[in-house]
Amino acid sequence: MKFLLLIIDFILIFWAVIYTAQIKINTKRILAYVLIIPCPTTLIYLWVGQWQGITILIVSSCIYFWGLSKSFLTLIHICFVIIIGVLTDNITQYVIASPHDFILGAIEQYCIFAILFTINIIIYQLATRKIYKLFGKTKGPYLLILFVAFITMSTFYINIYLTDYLSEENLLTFNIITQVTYFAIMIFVLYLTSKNIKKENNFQKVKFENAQFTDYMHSLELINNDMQKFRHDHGNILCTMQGYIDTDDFEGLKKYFKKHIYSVEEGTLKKNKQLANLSKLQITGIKGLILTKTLQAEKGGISVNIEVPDVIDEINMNIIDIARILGIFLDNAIEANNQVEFQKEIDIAFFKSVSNPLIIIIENPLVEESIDIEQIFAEGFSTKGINRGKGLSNVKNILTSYPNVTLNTNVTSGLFTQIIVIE
Amino acid sequence: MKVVICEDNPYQQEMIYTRLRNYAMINHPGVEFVLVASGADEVLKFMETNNADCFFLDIELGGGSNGLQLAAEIRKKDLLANIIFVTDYSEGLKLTFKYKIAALDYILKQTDDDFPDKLIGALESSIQRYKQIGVTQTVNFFQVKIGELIKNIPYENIYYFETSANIHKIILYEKNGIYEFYGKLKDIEHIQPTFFRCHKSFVINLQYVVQIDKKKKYVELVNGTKCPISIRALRNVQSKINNFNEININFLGTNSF
Repeated sequence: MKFLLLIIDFILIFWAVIYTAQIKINTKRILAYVLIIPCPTTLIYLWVGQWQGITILIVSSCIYFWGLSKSFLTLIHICFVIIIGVLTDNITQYVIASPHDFILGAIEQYCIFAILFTINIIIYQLATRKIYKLFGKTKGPYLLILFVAFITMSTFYINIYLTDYLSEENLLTFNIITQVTYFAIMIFVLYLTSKNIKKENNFQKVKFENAQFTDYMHSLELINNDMQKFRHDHGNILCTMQGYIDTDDFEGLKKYFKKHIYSVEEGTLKKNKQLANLSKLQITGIKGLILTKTLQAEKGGISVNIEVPDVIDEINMNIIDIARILGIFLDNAIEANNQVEFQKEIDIAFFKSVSNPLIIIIENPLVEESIDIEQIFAEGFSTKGINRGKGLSNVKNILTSYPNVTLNTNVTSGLFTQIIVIE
Repeated sequence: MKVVICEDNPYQQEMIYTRLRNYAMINHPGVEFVLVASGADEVLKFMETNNADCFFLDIELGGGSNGLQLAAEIRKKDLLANIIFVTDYSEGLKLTFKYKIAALDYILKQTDDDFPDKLIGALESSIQRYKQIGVTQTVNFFQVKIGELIKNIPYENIYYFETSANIHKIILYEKNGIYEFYGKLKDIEHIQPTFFRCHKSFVINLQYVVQIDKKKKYVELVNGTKCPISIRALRNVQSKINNFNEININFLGTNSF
């Protein structure tokens, strides 16, 4: 009888592992399984002792399935199969222990166990398949999960079997030791995970800054090209002016200067001025964003005025978050200006207030006489098109995780002003 | 009122001083010009032992100092001083003037023709503000500080206050804007008789309530916002409203008070 149950056990474990690990089987493999795992385990289980048998079972299973698949994932599955086995065993005990009108025999008990075990394994397989796919080929997460699963499994078994050999006093000490060890190990795993997440965040930040930096370089190049063109024409311009001077034609010189030099170069000089204004803003990511958006706005005939009177080298916010917010605000400002007939204008200011918080202001004219300010922050709201309001509700979302930041929005005499105060 | 002028160009310094003094002598004899300086250091030194109420500052001061920094120093010492910038910039730093310094005004030197008029206009409004400081007026504004600028929001423009998802932050919704500041609703609910704490995290202005739904437990304001109302507040709201005859609220729902 005991022997039969053991055989069912082995069949269940074999099925569970090949099902979860998706290993193909043939007769040879089944034979090898019987030789490597059930035979030695049964011998030791029956003649030496229970926990020695279990140890052999785990070790031989690991060796056998590792040989078949050569992947950490399979080892993880073995650990989970065994953990599920222990859990299911306990659940079965509980089900049987609850009061019934009839008493269950050993075979019925075993049937309940087998059914529950099968169901649990299928649930496990379905639930984790997608998660494991996510990791791809990187070894790190597999090792970590294997570690956690192995420790958990060992703790389970130590708790179940080794405790039989201990006296009551020793049991208490033993429990404390296992529990503290387990807890310490989990803390360690938590530490590893958080370190990983930090690394990932940092990577995102660097990636973002690189992208902004590339944009910035591109904008610089554009401005530089204009300057180059100016220098190239320099000789010609001087010669022409010389001609006017030689003939004392000051009216002509005046006209020439106004028409061909000043008006053409005004734009270039202005761009250069923007660049100079931005020099005190020393956060590359934000600087790149502002410059890119400024050039974009000026292309649409909007004059952009940037004020950075203080050196800004630190923002008490995640750079990606503040960049997203500013991007949304500037896009909205550009769009609002597109509906304005004259005096297309965006004013941007970064400064440290006298009492020290950093203040960022974006101001633009607005056509709509009365705009419901509360509404524009609601999800999906827009005065024109669908996408505009969406941005603002995003801003609100981002800011919920910053207790040190306040956002003030108002409309006064046709000017829409957004003020971000970062403590 | 004590006036300080700081301008590094001697010609312009003389011009500003003469214009303002001549105007003040005739119209406002109480105005006293306590310092005419040509650099920031002079003004700061003067401020160590004296004080003044009105400052005309040039932005581009020679000798490496900057009128903006000087203004920030003055603002640190005196929150109420009137600061007026005199500048060459055409586009300038208007947001910075307004929000960092809370400057009263800024005047462009380039607009030659009406430059003297603008100077006098600025002095005039500075005098008006100086006079008001002493007068204890009945305050009808809610004040929100943004940078150095204090925004006065008339009580009658306020729709409601709400506590934000972040602790200690309160969001104020009014006709023309939304403002966030640090504070407690407890300190706000009693400053104005029409304010009513309808919920743990809401204070509404009863003036703007259009209807109250007793079943679904919300208050609808004139701008369409629906604020939740607690059962306790539902009991009190009627008597509170009866105090204001002009307020007309539509009650929905069947259960009576």
